[in-house]
Amino acid sequence: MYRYARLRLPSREEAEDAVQTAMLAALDARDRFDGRSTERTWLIGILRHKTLDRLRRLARERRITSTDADDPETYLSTGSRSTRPTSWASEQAAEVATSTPALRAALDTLPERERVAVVLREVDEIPIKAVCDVLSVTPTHLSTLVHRAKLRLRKALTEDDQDERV
Amino acid sequence: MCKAHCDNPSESPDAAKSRRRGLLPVLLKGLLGAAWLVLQLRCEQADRLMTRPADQPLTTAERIALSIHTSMCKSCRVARSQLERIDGALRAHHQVELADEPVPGTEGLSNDARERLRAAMKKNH
Repeated sequence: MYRYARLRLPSREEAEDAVQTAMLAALDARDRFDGRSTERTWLIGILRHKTLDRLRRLARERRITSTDADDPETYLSTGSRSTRPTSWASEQAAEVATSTPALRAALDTLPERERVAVVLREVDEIPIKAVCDVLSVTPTHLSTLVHRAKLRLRKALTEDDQDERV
Repeated sequence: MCKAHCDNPSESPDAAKSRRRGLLPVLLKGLLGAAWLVLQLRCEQADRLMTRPADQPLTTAERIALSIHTSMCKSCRVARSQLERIDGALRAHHQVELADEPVPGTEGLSNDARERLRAAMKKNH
């Protein structure tokens, strides 16, 4: 549960508090657990609500760092790439590069706002409007955050792959 | 008798004809849109299309333009296949979280936090 919260919240303390709040809420609501899902799915559902509430508050207080200045990809004035992406050496290398530990490590390197945006949109598949509401951003800003996050992930995972081949 | 009329016998031949005529501008618009996009599309815009989330699908014109661009641009072809793979890994990550398998290299709840949680649960219940 902690790992779930930590991926979506900016600090260890926030993630620990979210887990504590969710566990206490689950304890209060334990009579309402009807067994239709696993206990873990039910607990994650509660934690998800607590995490989103916390994110909403942090975004309102502007405590989720923004990195609007740097761009992960560089282009020539013609709009073409200035560097050529490196292919993964083999299918096996691609699998290693996108394995769960590698993906988690790459997600951890993303700027906070980008990480939260891509996780809420792509991992949790939360609709645009709801994510915009949680992060207090416009749909255009949100798509820029997701776009940058994915480009950064691609770079990180291909660089990881190059390291593995050495 | 035309196929559309056979599929929908209540539709008169004239109505089917006019429906077909209505489709033509839509088709032409799509083709013209794709041609215009192919001419305009650079790696920078291709990246934008390639990183769009699954619930915001590309239009037909965008799909055609991106396919033509990636067939001519090796860099974007590589980037596209990598991004598609990363998208798949991101979507699959939710199931990994639900399975509660420990992820190597990631930290768990600290001992202090466990103690605090235990104390809070004891106090409240």
